[in-house]
Amino acid sequence: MSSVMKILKCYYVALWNKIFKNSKYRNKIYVALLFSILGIGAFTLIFGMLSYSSIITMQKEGMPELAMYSFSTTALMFMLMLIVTESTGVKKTTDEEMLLSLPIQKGAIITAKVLYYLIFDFVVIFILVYPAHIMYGMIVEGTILPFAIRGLVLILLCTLFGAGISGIIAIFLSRLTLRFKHSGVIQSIFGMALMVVFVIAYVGFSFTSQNPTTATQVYDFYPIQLLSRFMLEGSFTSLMIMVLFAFGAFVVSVILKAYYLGKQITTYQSKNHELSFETSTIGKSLYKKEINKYFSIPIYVSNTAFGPIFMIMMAILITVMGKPHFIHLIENVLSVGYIDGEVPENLIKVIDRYFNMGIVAIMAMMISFSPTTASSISLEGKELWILKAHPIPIKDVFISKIFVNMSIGFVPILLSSILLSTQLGIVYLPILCMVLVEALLISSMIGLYANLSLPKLNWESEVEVVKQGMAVLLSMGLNLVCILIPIIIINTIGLNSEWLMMGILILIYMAIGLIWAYVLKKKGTMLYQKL
Amino acid sequence: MLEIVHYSKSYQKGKFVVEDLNLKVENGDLFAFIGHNGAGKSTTIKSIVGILPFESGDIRIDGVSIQDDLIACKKKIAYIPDNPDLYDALTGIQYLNFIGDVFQVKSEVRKEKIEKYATLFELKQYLNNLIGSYSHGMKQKLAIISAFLHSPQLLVLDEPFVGLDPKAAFLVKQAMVEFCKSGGAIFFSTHVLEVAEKLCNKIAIIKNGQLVITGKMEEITKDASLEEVFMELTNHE
Repeated sequence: MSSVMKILKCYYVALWNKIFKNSKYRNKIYVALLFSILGIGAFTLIFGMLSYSSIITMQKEGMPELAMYSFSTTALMFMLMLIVTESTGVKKTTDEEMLLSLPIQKGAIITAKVLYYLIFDFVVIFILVYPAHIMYGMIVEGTILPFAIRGLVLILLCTLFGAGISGIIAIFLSRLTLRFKHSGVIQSIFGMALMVVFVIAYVGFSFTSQNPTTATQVYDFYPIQLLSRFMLEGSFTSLMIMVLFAFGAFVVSVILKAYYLGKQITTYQSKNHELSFETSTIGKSLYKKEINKYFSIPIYVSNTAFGPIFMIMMAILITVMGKPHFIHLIENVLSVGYIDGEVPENLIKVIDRYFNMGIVAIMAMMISFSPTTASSISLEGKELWILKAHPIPIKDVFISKIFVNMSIGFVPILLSSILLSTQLGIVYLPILCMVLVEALLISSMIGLYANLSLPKLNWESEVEVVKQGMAVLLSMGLNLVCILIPIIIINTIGLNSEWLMMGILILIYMAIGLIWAYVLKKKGTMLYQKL
Repeated sequence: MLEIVHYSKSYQKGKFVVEDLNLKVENGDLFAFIGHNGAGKSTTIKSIVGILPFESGDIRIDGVSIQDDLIACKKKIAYIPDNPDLYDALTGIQYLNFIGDVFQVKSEVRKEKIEKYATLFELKQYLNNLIGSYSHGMKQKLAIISAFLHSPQLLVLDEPFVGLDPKAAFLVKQAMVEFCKSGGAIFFSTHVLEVAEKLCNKIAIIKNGQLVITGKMEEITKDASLEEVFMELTNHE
């Protein structure tokens, strides 16, 4: 067995043990796993249905291959997302020194580490794109096997390329910023800038490809052509180009990472020997410490800032396009799902009637999608003793962590609410603000509770906590239940007045918030003491 | 100053890591807590400083039970773990100010203490650097400075000499003796028996979670060395 396989085996055995041999948190882990399986199932179903409709519609138009171009766009977008979330600097892992002391090549250590994390990204792209490839083969060509094999190769190469490019960016970013005191903050800002670019690209690609007159502009884009040609024709040239790019990027990133492995990352040395003895209250000091920690872990920022950034971008889009045009755009998107390309009249009426409520629901989901609190306890890691051994009230610890999420979400909420109120009506400003702040607060408390229930204090890298933490999955599931279900119930009841619906939603969120505050005070305190 | 009464701790039901431990540390005591790996030293220390909850018994700091008022007890303690994992994203001075804020130490007091101990441990010029760039020994020194910042009454140390250079170890020992002379109490675990024998007036030996012996150093060692006493007491099943 090669060194890479030995390290990989060790990592996966450790992962297996953490999930299935953790008697202390077994039940909660199973709940989190259930949520993730349900989530994966729901995503597969939704993407599968959309893909099916797309294939049928395009086949009817006599251009079924356009559906494949659309799937290639999706694959490319998720690969870009992978690059965006993983390009933010290189962090030393806790097992690095131990592995370096063993008779293993640096390249093998890096390859094993990259491959370990790559599997998770592979699964995400696989779930979203693979069913579409299979369906295309089945419906259009009447054969599955070639599309199944090509799909698998394409997803693997996309993941490899994404990991390679993100690795190269991360190395350069680390080397460029290591002389700065706040290198983590610089990397976080770079990550956020990349994310904004990604969101703009995503929205641009999605809407341009939905419009028949502009779709060709997207499909003429070389990478999409390359992926689509390989999938449709099994083009050997396309495959070779893809292999070259994917393996090239991957190998270069492994060489670079191996070269810098074990070398001191932080080189900042202050020349200022003047010391500041500024005093603060416990709460303020804790908050400063939390904010400092947040911005010093770029992967933490890039994985939790998605929701707020998406929210602002959506608000900008609606404001720029105007409400009527945006509704028309939704109808256009939905029409892909109907074989005759016509959205039923009833559905158009429903969209018109519930548009405002729908926007509120989407905004609430976005802002509550990935609270910082869901990994804030785990990220304390081995430093948790500082909070526990000092005279710091548990309440203050909780509040400081919740406040970080609130401060990160507050400005996007205010901006989005102001923008949206120009379209929905100025009276919506306080309502939007109230609903979204409540949703943000609920998600902050849920995230904290989830992390207290499923803490992971021993980790090799922050990625394990932020991207693969069970608490993050549990938090997403609980947030979905607590934020979305009230909106669905209110809509199902079918009240005539939109104002009444909003009012009830505010009251329900308030009640949910109070329940979670009580749960945190009682159960959360107990869980914290047991950490 | 520190009273441990019938203290028991288990991680799994029925399996005690420490069972029915009774200890008393008085003002001015320099108390060594000795035992083999896994004997329950760190578990006991973590319970004293409020990190680990426990099943039965009581721990009192200056007469106050930590079950009744944990925060009040923590205000009188300073704790230094065996492996001080500090906030890597903060600079040394930011960390010391954070601890100063937690204990509400006035600006002029913290300035005096930080300058005194940072100069003593030769860390002053590095205090504006990120903790992430510190060596293990530097982190240990920073944790020691933070421990003295709020003038605690009880110092609880888990293997305090690990990672320290000879000079720093000497200075720490000196600071410990001075601290006890001024009326403070120290409870610390160590594997270095020579240091314990030379430094401490009281000792406790723990084996498999149970107290083997406790008392004054000279009464326990008599004519033998602490190493001989330890080997004899812990080798008997």
